[in-house]
Amino acid sequence: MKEINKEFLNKALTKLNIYEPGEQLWLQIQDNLNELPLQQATKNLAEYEPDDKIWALIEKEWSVSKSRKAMIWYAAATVLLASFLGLWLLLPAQSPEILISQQEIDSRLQAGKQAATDEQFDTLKTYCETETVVCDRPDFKQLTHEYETLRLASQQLQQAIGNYNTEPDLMRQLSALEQEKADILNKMAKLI
Amino acid sequence: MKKIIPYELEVFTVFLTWIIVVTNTPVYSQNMLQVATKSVEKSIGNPAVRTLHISAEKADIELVAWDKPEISVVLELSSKHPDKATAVSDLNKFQYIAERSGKDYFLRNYILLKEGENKPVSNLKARYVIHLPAACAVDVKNTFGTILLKGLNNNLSLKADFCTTTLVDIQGKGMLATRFGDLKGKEISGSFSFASDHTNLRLEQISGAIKMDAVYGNVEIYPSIGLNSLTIQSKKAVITLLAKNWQLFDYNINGAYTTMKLPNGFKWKKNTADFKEAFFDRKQIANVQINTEFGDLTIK
Repeated sequence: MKEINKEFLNKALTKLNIYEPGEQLWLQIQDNLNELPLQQATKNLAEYEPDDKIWALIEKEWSVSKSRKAMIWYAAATVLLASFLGLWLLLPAQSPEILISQQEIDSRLQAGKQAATDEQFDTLKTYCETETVVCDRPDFKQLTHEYETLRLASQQLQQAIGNYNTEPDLMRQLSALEQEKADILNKMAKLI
Repeated sequence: MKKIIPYELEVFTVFLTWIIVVTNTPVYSQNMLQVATKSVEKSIGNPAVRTLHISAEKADIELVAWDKPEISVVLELSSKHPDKATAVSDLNKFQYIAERSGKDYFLRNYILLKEGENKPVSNLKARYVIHLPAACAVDVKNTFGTILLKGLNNNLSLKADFCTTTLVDIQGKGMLATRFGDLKGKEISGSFSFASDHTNLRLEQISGAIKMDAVYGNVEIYPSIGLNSLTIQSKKAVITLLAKNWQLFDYNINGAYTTMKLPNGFKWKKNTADFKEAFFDRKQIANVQINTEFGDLTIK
């Protein structure tokens, strides 16, 4: 490998700014190198002994050009190679591969339409626009407030459940909420 | 060096082809969900992490103590939709953060939309399986999922909305806030404050200094002999205190508009339909203080 612009390269290298990396970066690199898949992968790598001819060739080349300038060039090449390899090792951690599997849709875990209780509650509210004696009572107002809190919670839950739910826990919570809403609605109806 | 670049390219090309093939194969069924999953594994060692912060949405979180000094994290993000391409594209909007800042380590999952991208329509789910030293403090936030904490003995901070939470063998101190959902705890000892809103709580074999602030919901507490103090402030909640021998503790009870059932032996200072005040005093070491507004209170 013969470098034609050796002089220029050396000059350019000495003119380069020197930066000290932050400690944070070393910790980050250390953490990334400690990643389990990487550790396991390095253990599984096969080992190869280089052929004797290679050593002979290296020795020959070494004796031909053992000037200091060549050494600097090798150092630069090593740094470049190491940083390239480092970058290559870091990349997979940032974009893990995507695996595909299948799961059956369970219709029992899907949230249905708006509950009938909400429609009845709205009817009660319309009724309250004309009838004020009962609806102005503090206990009735309190129940209305409780119902609205539960309705909001139920809406948040339904949004989280979404279209393709697979979590029985969320459905269980939703049915408990709907039950509570129905209880409150019954209490309100008794007051009227 | 010359040899490495083409090899890299080759690997990359194979990977790219694989991705293209995988994401474009039209497998579509009405009754089946295509589940796209990506997972990250990390081992976090020196210097030791003091506090692990998890800020999660729609996640199942498992934090279990082990006897190794490092923290192991397996984070799995999944996206479910009948159409594979949609599941994959929504999974790409589902992002995570795993980074250290000094002695704190932060884990987070969130939805990131690039310009012009639509909100995900798939069912997104995160799953954290974490093993950590018992002495590592944790700060966990989650919504619409499950949380399991086991064997920890340092500072604990928890905020769970619409979650099913389970605590087992927890020592130390902590603040636990829940909104809706359930919380079950077993073998909890130390100095803990619970703030619950519309949550059903069940705490068994609980000892130390416990504070409870409950609004709505059912609260069942089974204290053990190791209880030092229990302070309950409740509004419209159904409180039940079940001790093997209730006479092991002293009691001060105050209730407004509350239905009360107390064992024989309590002395009443006030007992009207609306306001009740009762106590039980045998100069025991442990004291139970309960203030209620509406709701029910039962001591057995």
